Amino acid sequence: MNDIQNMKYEEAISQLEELVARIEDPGRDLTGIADDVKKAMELVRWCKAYIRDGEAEMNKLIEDGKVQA
Amino acid sequence: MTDEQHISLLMLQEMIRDSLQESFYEQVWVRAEISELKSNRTGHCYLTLVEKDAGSDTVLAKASAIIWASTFRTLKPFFLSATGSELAVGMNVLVKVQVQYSELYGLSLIVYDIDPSFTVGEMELARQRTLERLKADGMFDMNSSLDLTLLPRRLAVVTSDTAAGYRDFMRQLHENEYGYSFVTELFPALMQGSDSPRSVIAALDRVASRIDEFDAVLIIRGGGGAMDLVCFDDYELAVNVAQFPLPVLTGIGHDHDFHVIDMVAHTSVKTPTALADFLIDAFAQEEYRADSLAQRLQLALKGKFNRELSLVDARVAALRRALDVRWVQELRRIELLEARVAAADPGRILSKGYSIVLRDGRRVDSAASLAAGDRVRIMFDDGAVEAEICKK
Repeated sequence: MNDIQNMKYEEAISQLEELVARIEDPGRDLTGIADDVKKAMELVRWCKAYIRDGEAEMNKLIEDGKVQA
Repeated sequence: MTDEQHISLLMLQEMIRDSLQESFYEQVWVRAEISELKSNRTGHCYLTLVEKDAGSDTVLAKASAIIWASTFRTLKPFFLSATGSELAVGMNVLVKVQVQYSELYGLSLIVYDIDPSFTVGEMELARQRTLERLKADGMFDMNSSLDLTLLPRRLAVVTSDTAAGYRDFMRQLHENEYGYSFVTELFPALMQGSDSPRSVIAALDRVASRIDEFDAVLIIRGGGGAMDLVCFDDYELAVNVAQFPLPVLTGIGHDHDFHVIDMVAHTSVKTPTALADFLIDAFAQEEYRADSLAQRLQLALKGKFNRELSLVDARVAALRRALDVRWVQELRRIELLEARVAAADPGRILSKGYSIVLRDGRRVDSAASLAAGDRVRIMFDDGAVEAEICKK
């Protein structure tokens, strides 16, 4: 996650899929879920920004602190 | 050498002419390839017809041909309507000719008719041969085995900026309703004619020199006649496309057109506009995917917290029930103890008029345990007295 700025889209969407599946798992308790949720929401924002307008949008998100670089 | 043993050139030519006219007094159908073609202001069309060795492309035979203006006026549109193309260099044709020999100009074939279905058939045969060759060389799956990025944004576009379909493609792509942005760069090439394959290959080479700057190469061209698009059946071009290190996407011609490079490309769609839609749809699909994941995340969280809250509520209720039961149990226990205490209270006995005898602070419950002279304490409901046993 620390390298989100350098991440390829395919990697990001794949990580997001994994995280969501983990959070959805009914056997998973709430311990540590907040971190997973935070990471997942960052990835959602990153992916959507990349789809919309590649670098420009992502750089803006990083500058605004909404996504950790 | 005597005079009788030589003849004049004119005589020789005339003899040749007469001999040919005798042998070819009727028109004949001839198949040949057009290696040169030009027409002038008079409307006459002058051709050079050749026959080549199939394996080596060596010219085996060659002849000049003429289509007089009066014939060309009807032949030209006839051929065009049947094949979708005008007569052009490189075409294999079947023409009906009259052999003509002129003392001055030599041999000429005067064209009176043409069979367009032969040309179309030859093109199809050539295409089939090319396809078989490509299949034997293992070219069919090479480019399609490359991974196309989920979001192909940086595009090298090989086409002519005047080509039909290029403007439509660019408009469709860059003015898409979703607002997705793409980066396109034109690599100009000829998109019809015999020089087209070489030109497209050169454009592909230019893209290859900057391969890291692009996600895919697009080869696009709008509709045209069969001969206009035959260049996309070229073997060398197909090999270049098959072996190209980036995915090659083609959008050539009309809905019904399908060419050899379409079959070796990574992805082929019917038209340039359809290719723009393909790219836009890729982005729309990923956006839908991201939105779906965000929604799943929300639902998962909501579900999880609701489940946990329900579990907590259930536990609290169970605890309450357990406490209630325990409370009742304890109450009952206390009540029982209270009853036992009450039952064991000596005050109850005294209040009924009985008395309790104590000696040395201990209850005496048998007369046999007392002797004369023992000092006892007798307890009554309203008090106690000291006494001595006088007699037993």
